[in-house]
Amino acid sequence: MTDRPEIMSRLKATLDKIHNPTVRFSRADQRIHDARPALLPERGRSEGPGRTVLFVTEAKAAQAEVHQLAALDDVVQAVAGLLQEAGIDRLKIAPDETLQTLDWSGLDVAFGRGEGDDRAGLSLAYAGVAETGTLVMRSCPASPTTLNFLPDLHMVVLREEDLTANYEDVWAKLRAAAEPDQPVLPRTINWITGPSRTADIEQTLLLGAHGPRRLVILLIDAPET
Amino acid sequence: MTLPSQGHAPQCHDFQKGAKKALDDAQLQGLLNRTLKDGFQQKRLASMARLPEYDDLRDRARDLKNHVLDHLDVYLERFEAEVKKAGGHVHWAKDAETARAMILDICLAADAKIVSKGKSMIAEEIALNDHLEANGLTPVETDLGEYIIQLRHELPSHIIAPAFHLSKNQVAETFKDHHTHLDKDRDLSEATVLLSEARSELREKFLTADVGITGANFLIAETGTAMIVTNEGNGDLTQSLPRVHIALTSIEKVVPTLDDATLLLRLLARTATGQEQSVYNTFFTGPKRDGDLDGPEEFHVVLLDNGRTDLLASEFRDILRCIRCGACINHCPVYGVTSGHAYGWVYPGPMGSVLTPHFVGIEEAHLLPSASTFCGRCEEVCPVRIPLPDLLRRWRMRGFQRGHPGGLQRFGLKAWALLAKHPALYAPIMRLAVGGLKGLAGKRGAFKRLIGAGGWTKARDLPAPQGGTFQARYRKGER
Amino acid sequence: MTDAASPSAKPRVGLFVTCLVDLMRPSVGFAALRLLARAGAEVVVPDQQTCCGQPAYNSGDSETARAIAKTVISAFEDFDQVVAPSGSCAGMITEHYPKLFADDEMWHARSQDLAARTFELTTYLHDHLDLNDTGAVFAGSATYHDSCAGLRELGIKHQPRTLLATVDGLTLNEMDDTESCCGFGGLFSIKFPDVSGAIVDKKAANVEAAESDLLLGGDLGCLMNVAGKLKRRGSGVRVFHIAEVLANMTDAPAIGEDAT
Repeated sequence: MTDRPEIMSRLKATLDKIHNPTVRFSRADQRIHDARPALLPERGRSEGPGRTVLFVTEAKAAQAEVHQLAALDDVVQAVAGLLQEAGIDRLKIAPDETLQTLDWSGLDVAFGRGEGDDRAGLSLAYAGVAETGTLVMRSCPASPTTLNFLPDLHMVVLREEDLTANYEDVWAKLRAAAEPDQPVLPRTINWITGPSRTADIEQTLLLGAHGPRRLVILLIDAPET
Repeated sequence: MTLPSQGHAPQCHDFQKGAKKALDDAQLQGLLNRTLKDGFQQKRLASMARLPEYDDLRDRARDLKNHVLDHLDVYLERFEAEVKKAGGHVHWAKDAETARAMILDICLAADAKIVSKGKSMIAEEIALNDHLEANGLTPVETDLGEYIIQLRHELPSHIIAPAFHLSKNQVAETFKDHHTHLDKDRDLSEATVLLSEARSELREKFLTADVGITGANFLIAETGTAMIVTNEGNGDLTQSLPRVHIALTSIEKVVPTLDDATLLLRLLARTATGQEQSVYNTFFTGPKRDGDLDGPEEFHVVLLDNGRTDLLASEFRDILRCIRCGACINHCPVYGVTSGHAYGWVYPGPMGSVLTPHFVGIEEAHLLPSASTFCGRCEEVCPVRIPLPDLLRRWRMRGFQRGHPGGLQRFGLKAWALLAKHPALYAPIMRLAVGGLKGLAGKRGAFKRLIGAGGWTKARDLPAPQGGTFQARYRKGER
Repeated sequence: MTDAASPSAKPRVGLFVTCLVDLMRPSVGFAALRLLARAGAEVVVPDQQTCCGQPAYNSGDSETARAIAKTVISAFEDFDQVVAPSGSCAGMITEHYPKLFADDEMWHARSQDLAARTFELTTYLHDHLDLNDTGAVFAGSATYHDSCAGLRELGIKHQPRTLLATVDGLTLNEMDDTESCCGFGGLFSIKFPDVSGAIVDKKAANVEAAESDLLLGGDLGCLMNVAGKLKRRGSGVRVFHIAEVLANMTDAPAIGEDAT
């Protein structure tokens, strides 16, 4: 059962009056091929230390918590502190090599996807967009999407060198990294801007609707060059 | 042209009754003020101020959408090809009935019992839940607002904030009525407690759902990607936990590239709720990949026409640019006092008044395009610059040709028209009429009641004429 | 822009009275005459005018709207400019007449010609009066309602305020939501009286909260609507068309006010 022929023929009948089909096809094809940003606002063109400052400001404005750490090695201690403060004794970590090689001894951790009873989760961000303090998460075996949504406390490691000024730079990065004959995008790309929220009850802003109630970003300073 | 299949039975013909009910509801009026004026309107202004390029982006968004409409078949074909490359399926449904049947088939083939649902206006348009329930499935709305109105068997009153018309107490009552396995004496007076309860009730449904159905805010031809925009994260749990994910969407949602979607995303949350971005913007492409620890095994897109190909060929084409932000609804002075249910179907406010007559017929819905002062605020705030008052007026033209308004109003219009076309008749007759009214008023400046003044004098006085017409007095030499 | 054949250097301005001014409040027309004369125009009032056709147009009766528009276009063919004391009527002529004749080449050209020469009153006065000496005096305060068509179709916002700033003794208090619709909408107020009543109630509340002696505006329909509601609420605010204040005609009863 499909109505594709009927729908397409109705579209064609209308659109052929505007452009002939060959022109229409080649223009659309060209436009996809030429993919480029329409207009990058000023705020989407930050650079250097200003970019980091902008990211932190915007992320906090969206109710994310941001901790700036000097190095990856400081993550474990930061995480331990957050878990203790929140009274949570177990942690699920995305099975990313960068996170797996840290020394988790002393903490009750497991690596894998998110489960319904996970109260805390730790992931590694693919990128961070300074324009709006947005994390970009890319699904893959090392970064399961469910870990971004099921835990109550979601902690995300983000490296300063993975900050981009705008979203378009992230798309460019993904396109450049794509394998030939493979989809450019993974199963899921998440843009995450702050913790889960709703205002559905009398317009009162409440955090933790279904996703995490707290989003903590652990921003790792870029290595000194 | 046959009507698209309607789904929910429309009550648009009862607009006046529905409006009156809303006007008399003091609690609703308070919620309207709070949600719209103090809420969405102020937040949008503040958020626009943070993006100086806003108006420029609106122009580009309008141009992008127009371009897409001119090339719609090509972009849809490309989208479909890319979805397939990524291992997904695309189903083309010409109307609501077909879409319902297709979705049911997918669910039955997956041996589904529980179906979790992210927020989808298309699902409301085709009345999907009723159909699934009638066929033995249990659809569960996961967006908090949609969940609440699902429990209450109501239609959404707003396309972004479907349950804003309810007070906290009404929500608490609803939960007490439906979450009967919980202690009936529990204290539900705090919003945080209500939210916790909803979260735990729904978490169980998320985790046990066999099929997850979401909408799609945009479809991206370049990569075969569908994307959703939520604040709660419910859409994400709906699409990542079950074995099967269905994205139910409509044909005009496609955009050429990821960058094009990004342009629209810079406008959407900003214009709708005043946020920089909604918390979760999620782009999904096909089913889970090799090695993924989670994600659906099957991914389906159901592309719905339901009369949109007709709209594309019609004088109402511009409405297909709509990105469902709700700004027109938030700023409409009429919606601001009647709320959404008075509009009698799925889509309220200005955009609803342009769409609804197309879906349910102008006979049923002619009051909707009439219920506007043409103040133009909707067009002013629309991020894709849809000329809403013009489109509403075109519906009025169609309505007029079919006899709406009828009765006394039409007679009055015809009488006025006759006189207005003939100044030589108009002048003396109007002089008499004005003189008569003035005589009736005497020294009074206004009438508290006047036969034939319709409902005007119910709510306000009617100023009396000054006396003599300007033309008559001018001809006599007054200056 | 003067007619080169005419011996006079003054522009020949046709006054489009508007049906509401003609029938309900001629003083607005006479105020317009005085102000236009002061602005250096030679003003003529053609008698072959009745209405701009908006009630028919907005009811969906394009045929009648076109017929009425043709009489207006013909009546005002020979003027350098046409001025109307109403944003919605001026907007009907400038924005909508050309649309009405999109399929009729000859009338489309004539309607565009008229549209290019037609102005709403406050815009015209703002551009042609000597703003250092408008001669207007009023000791008291006023608040101003921005009628929708004038605001959104014609960009009328600062012009009336600049004019009011020239009124000796007048204080302008801006109310909340000056740009919100008053709920008149022409026939809307009669077709949906309850809804209209609720909308104008909000506007009246904002007017009262501005605590001013006067409510002013540029469109008589809106003003009658709000004045009627203010009166029903027992408010003492006096409502005038801005032209009446500029022409020093506020001694007469305000809109809806009883004669003494």
